[in-house]
Amino acid sequence: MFRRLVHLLEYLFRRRRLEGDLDEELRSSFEMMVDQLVARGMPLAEARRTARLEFEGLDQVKEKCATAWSDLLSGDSFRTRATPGADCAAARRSHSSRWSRWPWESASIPRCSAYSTPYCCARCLTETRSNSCSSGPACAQPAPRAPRSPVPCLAKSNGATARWHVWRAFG
Amino acid sequence: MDILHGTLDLLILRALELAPMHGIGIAARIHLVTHGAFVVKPGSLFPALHRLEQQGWITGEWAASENNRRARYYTLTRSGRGQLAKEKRNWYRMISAMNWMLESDG
Repeated sequence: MFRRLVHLLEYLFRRRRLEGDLDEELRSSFEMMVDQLVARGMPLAEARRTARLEFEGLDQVKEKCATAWSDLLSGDSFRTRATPGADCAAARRSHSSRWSRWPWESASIPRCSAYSTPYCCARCLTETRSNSCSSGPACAQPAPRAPRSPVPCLAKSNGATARWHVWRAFG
Repeated sequence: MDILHGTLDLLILRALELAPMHGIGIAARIHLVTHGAFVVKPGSLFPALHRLEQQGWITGEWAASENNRRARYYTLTRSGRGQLAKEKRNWYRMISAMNWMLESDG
């Protein structure tokens, strides 16, 4: 957990440098591949074209690598194993923690996994399968006037929407 | 031959068990050792390397390559060795289970 936090802080504060390093790594790897192909007797232009095909576009590779880092921000690395109820459990933990007030943390809280329950009641923080909380006695408080619950499945929304939903529910 | 889902990490960790290597070196090593059966393209390799680094199983450092190019060399960490051992055990268990199934008598 500590290591992941360090990685997260590193990503937040050294993002530009990490992206620069990644860019340099991919470019140098591309050139190394060209060198290898040329060493095997391929003409330079042909070698560059082949290497370009192998890399399937530097920008796409860069994007995939950046996703590995930004998964920290989306919460994938902080989430418990994706089992039904794990999202609400994470939401409960985060709700009781002061860190949940931080925007980057709130973006990582109740993202539903594809097969888990798609809603998490913002009032009692238990999972529900419909638009109304089905936990019964566990959520025996008077129903809120505004439809504050449930929290929609954040897996289907982008980061900004996810943040908005979480701030609305817990903020 | 397509690499089975989830086995790329094992291949990379195993390649790095012997010596620190850069990305292209790792791909070449896997290609060589598997007699050309597995071709790891950069589009899969580099995201996997960054994911493994993020997990703390490997660590990257800049150094000069054999062609005097600046390359990022990856080294297996202590926890990476532990993870490799764990993934090897899982793999052998899976192989045994598959063999039992395929060689069963009906």
